[in-house]
Amino acid sequence: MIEFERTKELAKKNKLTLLEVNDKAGLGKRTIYNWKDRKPGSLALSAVAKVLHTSTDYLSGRTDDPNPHQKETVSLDHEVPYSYHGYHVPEEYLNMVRELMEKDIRERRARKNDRGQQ
Amino acid sequence: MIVDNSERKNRLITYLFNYAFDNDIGYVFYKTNPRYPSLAWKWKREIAINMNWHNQDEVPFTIGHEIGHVMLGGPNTKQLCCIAYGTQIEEEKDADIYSLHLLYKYSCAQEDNFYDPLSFVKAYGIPNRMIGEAYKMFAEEEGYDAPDLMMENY
Repeated sequence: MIEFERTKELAKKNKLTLLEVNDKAGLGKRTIYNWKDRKPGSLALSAVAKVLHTSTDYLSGRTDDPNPHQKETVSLDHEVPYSYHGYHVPEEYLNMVRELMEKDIRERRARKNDRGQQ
Repeated sequence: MIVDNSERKNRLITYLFNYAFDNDIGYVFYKTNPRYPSLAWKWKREIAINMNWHNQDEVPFTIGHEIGHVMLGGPNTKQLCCIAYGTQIEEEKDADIYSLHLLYKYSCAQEDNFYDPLSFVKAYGIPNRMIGEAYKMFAEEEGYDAPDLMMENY
């Protein structure tokens, strides 16, 4: 996966081993090594981007510019909720919760509209 | 002596969800893997609580914490994720302090009358990392003198 290749490349530039990056980002044991053949979760990728002073867009190949300052505006699709004390959020959990939250938000909006019409 | 605190904890959880509702914060709660953290979606004013969190005593505090994220807002509301921009630690701490004060407000309304911060922290399942802040809060609100040594240790 490109995330693994770019993490490895930037780790080298920052004079860090992958294990050190993994630890500094607070990830589970050898998480980064799993990225060789599996897409990383968005929170884990963000944590690694911070350690390597880059953006998640660079790590995932959406841009070829490793400079994080290029990325101040973010599309809504990429927004991720805060997790309690930055605990790791697996992708499947995030997707499940996002669905629940979005459903609740829709229902909340509908209730508000109903009240507005009464 | 074994004390059953579940009824007390349930009342507190109900209070916290009502508090969220009163402040236009939506919430969902569920039981899943005990290691999956609760979440806050600040700009949508929505929180998600894992009621099966591995530290069951800490569940009310986590609810207050997630409410805190939404209530405190902040300039990075629409950024990808706090972690990516290095503001996470400050924001997590602020949300912790919000929760601490919210639980204390509830405790006072119950007329718990805690005389020292440690008993309060223990009774409400507040994480040990908050002991220093709890001393500060008691000092501000009750004129409680925090022992210097204790403050230094935390």
